[in-house]
Amino acid sequence: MAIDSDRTYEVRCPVYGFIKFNDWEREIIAQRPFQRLRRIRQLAWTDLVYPGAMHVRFEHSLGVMNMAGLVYDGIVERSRDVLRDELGYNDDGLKRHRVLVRIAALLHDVGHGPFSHAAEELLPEIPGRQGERYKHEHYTAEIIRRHFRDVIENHPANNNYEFTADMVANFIEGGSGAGQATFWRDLVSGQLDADRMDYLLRDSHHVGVEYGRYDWRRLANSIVAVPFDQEGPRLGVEEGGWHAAEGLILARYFMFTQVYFHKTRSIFNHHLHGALEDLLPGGTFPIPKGRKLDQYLKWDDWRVLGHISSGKGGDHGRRLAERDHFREIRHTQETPDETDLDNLDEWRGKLGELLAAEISAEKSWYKIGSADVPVIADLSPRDVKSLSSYSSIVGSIKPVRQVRMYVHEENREAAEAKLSTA
Amino acid sequence: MANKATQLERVATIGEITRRFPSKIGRTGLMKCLYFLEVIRGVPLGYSFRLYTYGPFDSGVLDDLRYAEALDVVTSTPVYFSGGYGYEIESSDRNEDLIGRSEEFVKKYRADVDWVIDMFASKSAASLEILSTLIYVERESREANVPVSVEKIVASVRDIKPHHSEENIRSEADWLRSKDLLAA
Repeated sequence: MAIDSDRTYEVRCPVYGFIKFNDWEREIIAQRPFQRLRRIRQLAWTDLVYPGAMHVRFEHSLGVMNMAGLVYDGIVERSRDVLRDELGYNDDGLKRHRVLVRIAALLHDVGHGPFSHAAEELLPEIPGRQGERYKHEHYTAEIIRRHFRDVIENHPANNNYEFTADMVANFIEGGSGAGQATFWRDLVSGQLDADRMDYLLRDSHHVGVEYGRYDWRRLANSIVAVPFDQEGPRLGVEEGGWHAAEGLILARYFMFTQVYFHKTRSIFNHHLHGALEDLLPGGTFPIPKGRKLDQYLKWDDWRVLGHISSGKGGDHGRRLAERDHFREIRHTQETPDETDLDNLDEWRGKLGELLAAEISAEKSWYKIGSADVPVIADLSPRDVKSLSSYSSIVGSIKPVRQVRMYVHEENREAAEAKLSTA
Repeated sequence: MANKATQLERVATIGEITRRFPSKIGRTGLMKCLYFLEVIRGVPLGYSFRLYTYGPFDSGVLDDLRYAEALDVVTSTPVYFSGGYGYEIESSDRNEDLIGRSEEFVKKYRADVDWVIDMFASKSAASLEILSTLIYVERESREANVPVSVEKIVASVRDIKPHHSEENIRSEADWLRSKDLLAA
């Protein structure tokens, strides 16, 4: 007889109060690769700027699962007709994919390396892909296939659903094997996804800023499946919720400029990169295949901190340990214009070897993103328009492509002298 | 191995596609043209396309488009129609100057841009979503060394895009095969 996962457990959460999960999800959480997320900080070395930023991927992952479930339920409640008529869903299908979405949301970050995104540039190149590097999503997918297969496929609750580890992995990495469930990918990785809905709130809480807060309850109760005549339905918001969606976009903008691309946080990412390059055999993480993947899983914050604490990691490791960072000497506007682009070339030329690091917002994982969220009118004829046509603020936000240049502290005066020459 | 494009080279490529496109290109058209350039023609744009129900997508394309708008390389105008909306993207005042900053890159891949425009400019957004999804599914199987038939590809795409009929998807697959763009 199939056993459904109807027994619930709960943990405290600083954002939602409590997060509930069932027996099956509890088993998944108990797996070692998931527990490893307790040892991976969400915002790397941000605590060197904002001391409260010590939270870890573990609590964020639980939060994304919770948020994804809430939003999913709201969409089903408000869009049942669209889901049935356009995508062929019945009640069983909707129940089945709710389970899949929550599991995928729970597992979406298990592939992160030490200190989260800060380590991403040290993932190795993908063979035969023109210099393209692996991303943490590739590791997530492989870890699910190798380490979560048993708990996904053989848990008694799965008798009701017949999910495979490949299906969950495909859903997360954007493979075609997710089939009809592909529609829900936007909920885990899209413009209105539970990932950013959670991390903005959670990061704000721990960092101690208000920039990432928005009316998440209103937004979660406004997201719907919006029908598009030719292309088919996609996720958007009801007209009554567009200010909440606007709030999310603004929260991303403020968090990016005030926290994620903060000048000092950014340079500590650079120092971490340098220290890891020194610590990793060959300067990159192992590939996400076979036994190399197991070696990758042994890398977490504790291991890196241990090395740095024992004096390893080269000059960058020392700088992390002693909070002795490079100093910003110049930056462009948030959205560089042609004058800025010319200035960059000029500054590079003048600084020469004094230029210790150049960091571009374009390469940051935390992008503001260009919102193209469909909004469906409340009243007949229920036109669909973009959020940017409702919100002049959203329509005016430009992508932040700021570039920051840094020098060694002891070279600041010399650098200024060079930059001030005609 | 070709170096990955810089952000200015990507913006210039958007400018070049927009400038040479025979009509005003939409966002879906731009997204899929860049996808085809990257995966079929091997232009090293550096995007990472993932599959969504609306086909291969990388939000980085929209970011680059917004940057192209900010630099006055292109302008986007929303257009509304019954049951949806879209955008018309046009070449703008600074387009040629920006392309000039990345002249070498644009010149190197001009024939590829011509190819993608010749091949796909007449296709609708809905058709481009299906065509790009068919190519995505086939490439995925090929990379995994899993033999795949056209029937299976069509069935996979139908699974992902159930609002399209099997006949419609099959017809798009046949078109791709007639152009040697689908090997199955």
